[in-house]
Amino acid sequence: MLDQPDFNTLLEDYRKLQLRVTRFSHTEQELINTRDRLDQELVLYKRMSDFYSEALKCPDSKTLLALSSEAVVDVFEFETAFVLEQNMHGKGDSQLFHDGIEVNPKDAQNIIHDLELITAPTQGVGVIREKLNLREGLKALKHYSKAFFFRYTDVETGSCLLIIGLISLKNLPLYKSIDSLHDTIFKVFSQQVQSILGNIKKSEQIQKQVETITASELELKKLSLIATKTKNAVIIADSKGRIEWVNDSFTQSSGFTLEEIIGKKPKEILHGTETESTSKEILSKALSNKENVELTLLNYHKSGRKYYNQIEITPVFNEQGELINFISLQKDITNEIKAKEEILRINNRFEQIAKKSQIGIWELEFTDNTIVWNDVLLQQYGSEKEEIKGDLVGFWRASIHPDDLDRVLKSQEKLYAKELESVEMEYRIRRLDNGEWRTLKTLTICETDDEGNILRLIGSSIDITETKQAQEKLIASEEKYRKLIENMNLGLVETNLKDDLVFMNAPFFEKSGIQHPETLILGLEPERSLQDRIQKGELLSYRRIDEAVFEVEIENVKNESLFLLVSSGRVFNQEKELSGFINIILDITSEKQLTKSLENALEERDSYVNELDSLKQFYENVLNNSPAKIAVLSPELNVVFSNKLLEDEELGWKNSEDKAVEEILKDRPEFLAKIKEAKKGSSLVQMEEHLLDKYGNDKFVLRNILPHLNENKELEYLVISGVNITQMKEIQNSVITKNNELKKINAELDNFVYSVSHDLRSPLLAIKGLIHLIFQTTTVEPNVETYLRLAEDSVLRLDSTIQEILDYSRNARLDLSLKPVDLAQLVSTIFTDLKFSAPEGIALNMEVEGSPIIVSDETRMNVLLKNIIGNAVKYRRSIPDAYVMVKVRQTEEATLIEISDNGQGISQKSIDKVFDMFYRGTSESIGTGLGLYLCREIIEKFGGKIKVDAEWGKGSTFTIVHPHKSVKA
Amino acid sequence: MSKFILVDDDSTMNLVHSTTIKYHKKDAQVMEFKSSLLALEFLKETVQEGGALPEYIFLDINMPEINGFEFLQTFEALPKEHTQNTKVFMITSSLDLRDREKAFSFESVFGFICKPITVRTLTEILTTTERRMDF
Repeated sequence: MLDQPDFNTLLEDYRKLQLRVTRFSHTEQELINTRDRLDQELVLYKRMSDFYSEALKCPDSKTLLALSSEAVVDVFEFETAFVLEQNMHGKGDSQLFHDGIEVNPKDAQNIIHDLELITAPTQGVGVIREKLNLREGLKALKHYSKAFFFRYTDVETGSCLLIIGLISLKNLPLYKSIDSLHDTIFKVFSQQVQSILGNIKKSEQIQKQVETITASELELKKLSLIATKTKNAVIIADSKGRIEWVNDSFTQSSGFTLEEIIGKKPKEILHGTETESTSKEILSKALSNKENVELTLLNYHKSGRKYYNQIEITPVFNEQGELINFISLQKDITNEIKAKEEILRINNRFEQIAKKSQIGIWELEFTDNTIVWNDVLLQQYGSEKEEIKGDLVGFWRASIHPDDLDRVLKSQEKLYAKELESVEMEYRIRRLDNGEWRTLKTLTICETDDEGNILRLIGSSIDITETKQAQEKLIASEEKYRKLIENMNLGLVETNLKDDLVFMNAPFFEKSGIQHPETLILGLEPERSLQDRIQKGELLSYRRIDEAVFEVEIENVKNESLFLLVSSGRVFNQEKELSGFINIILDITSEKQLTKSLENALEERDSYVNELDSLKQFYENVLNNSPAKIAVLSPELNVVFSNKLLEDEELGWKNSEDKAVEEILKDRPEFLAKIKEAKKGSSLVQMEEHLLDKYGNDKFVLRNILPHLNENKELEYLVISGVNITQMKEIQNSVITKNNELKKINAELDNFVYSVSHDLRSPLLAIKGLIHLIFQTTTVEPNVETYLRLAEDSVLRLDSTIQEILDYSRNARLDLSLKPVDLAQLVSTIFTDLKFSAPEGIALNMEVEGSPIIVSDETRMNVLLKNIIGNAVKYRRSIPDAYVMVKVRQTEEATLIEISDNGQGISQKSIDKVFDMFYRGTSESIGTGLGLYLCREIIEKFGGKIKVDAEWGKGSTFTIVHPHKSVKA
Repeated sequence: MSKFILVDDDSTMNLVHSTTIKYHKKDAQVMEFKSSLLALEFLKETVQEGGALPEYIFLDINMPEINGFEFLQTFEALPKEHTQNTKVFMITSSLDLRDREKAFSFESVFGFICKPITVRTLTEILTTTERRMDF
């Protein structure tokens, strides 16, 4: 049975085989899985290698980090990546990069914070598998579940690197299979990034240092160049103040070389006995306080020569704030100081001179507006510095005489405007101390720089009050004497020995008409030269009066004969030698003539006396026969003369010559008082004296008391005249009585007219009213209406006749009652009245030029205007543009009122008669013929005129000339 | 209803005026006085009895007994609270400007009108609220 396999064994084998197959396929599957994983790993490594080669090319950390964040997404296929690089010490220099997600810049800070939270405990690689549930910044990431992160702090560079990759919930399952793989590869990747970043950081740091070093080297180079080249001396000392280095200029100015003084302190070698101790103190105090200091010090040269050193010491500190050096800049300013002293000395000297010569000096510095006055100037203005408190310009202006101020300021402006470089002026100022006016002569000079800008004004001032006064006095006295001589009625002629004219007072000779005054020079032998000149015809005659005094007759240019008194004198020079002649000439022509005329007058006198006697007789006759009673009184009020009528009619005047008038009029004190009044006032006094005649009748005498004054307004005599006015007085009285009676009658008449007009008008107006009533209340037959209209017209005519007669009577009888009248108002009232009586269809206009108010009689003016305007309306034409125009205008003498219309006008034959009484132009006229006559009467009462221009069928123009009146106050 | 008092010694005039008023203003109550004294008496009594004074008084100037101005003097002496709503119009035949001036010196006088009153003037009188120189 060997050859026959057992079925059971076979089945066993089959089962074994089947098991092996199953095992094999399992292994095969595993192998496939491993291969896939390796493939994926390879891909990642490949990608990473690409990134690495790219990363090595990055020039700076920023590019690297940005590239890294991209790589996290690209290499590992994470959905989102963050790369954060922070400074270990602070948050300041954070750099955040991200990829695969949008981040709002304002959330960046929160995101950084959240990232730190996620990774806080870990250094190195970590994985978070839970759902991320973070605050603000990562809200957007709440759907993410898995995070891979790397955190590494590099102590050397002081920076912390954080790399995070995120996977969302949705995609998480896919990543499960490669978790372990990611761990390793992400670590490798992150370390690579970190190491590259470290390198870049280091190289950046080095680069920065290199730059800093280069910059400071450059600075040092510059400094040493300056220190070497500068003309100022430079010392560099260490922190203890010991000299480390000096430049050549120092050696030059101090005499010490670097070798000689290195390691010493500057004060040991430069200071000497005369170095100012206060300055030394300031210096050492500043140095020990490590402060900047600047001062001028007296230093000693190596040779012992003193010089002024202007020093500036600056302490130098390192970055840690430690003092490392002092740098001292020095300048030898000995020359400047000496120059300043020299200027001061010169200034002093100048000031001295100014003081001695009393010259005031001032300076106005334009750059800082400072003003300096010297003491002399202050004295000239009478002030102490303290008094004017620095406002020198204001004080100066206030001191100047108001009449001069304008001129002074204008000159000053010329300086400012650079029209002038210097100005010389004379003006008055008021001294502050005693208020005296002084005259100053000033010079102001303007100093400018090369570009013409004003640097300063310099001025000098001299008080020339006394000089000026003396000068003026001299001029005045010279003028006085010159005028005196010129206007003297005395001729002066001086000649030298050669007969040349040296001096003459021309006015005398011009006045006298003597053309050749030198002919009057008589020389050494006067009589001989006189005779010579008579022979030559230059003189007419002469007469010797005294030794060297002659009366000479000469003919002047007007051919008048002049008599001159010539006194001849000699002139000697300083050596007492004869140098010329001087003549004094006196014109005695008029005296000569006076003597003659006096003789004539005496002859005539006798004949005058005779004539006077007869004249006196005549006047006395006239006075005695005068119808007036006349008396003449002396200024002492004694009677000089009384005429016959006076002596006859009034007691006490007969034989009253030389009697005191007071005595004569002792019973008539009123008369006497008037005489005294006339004497006192030296003017005419009138009085009416009431006397009784011898029968006891009333007698009135009008007296005129007229003082007669002579040329000197002194009273010579009083003339009293009396005229009998008794009769005149009687007439006057009766006139007054009659006038009063007349007034009374007039007033009564006025009352009468007023009542009559009222009584006459009342029934008329009643008729008028009744007619109106009929028309209003009843319908009448046409012919009855016509009759009624006619009746109404008759009533109106009768009414206006009554009115006109009334107005006429008033105008004739009543006095003018003047007061201000408003013509505009008057005319407009008339217009309104007329509108009621006249239908529409006529335009009433008024124009007023100037004031409408005039002084006049309102009632009369009303009547006047009402008549003329009324006529214009009444005699209008039925045309569409019918008008009446009233124009009022003022001229110098009068008010003109012009009333014009375009009505029916006036025919040529009527125009001259329209103003006549009861003249009626046409049978059409509805008037009384009194209207215009009344108008003329009225305006003539005002002293004015009325005229008319008219054309038949065209219109008329009335012009009223109303002269200006004034109302008596 | 407006009340009118007419004072004029000329009864024809009164008739003309009252007819004109009534014609123009049907409901007007018009009283005519021929005597100015009686008119004044009537006004005084009305005041005493506390009645209302008429709104309008048409007053003539020239009248026997007392004239228009004397009438006005007495009228204006009446208590003000009674007279203040009454307007006086001088209705006159006077043409004298002095009369016109004098009339306006009384404060109750609202107008100075030449006789006779026409419908046109009446309309203006009834509508005026101010004193007017130019009726």
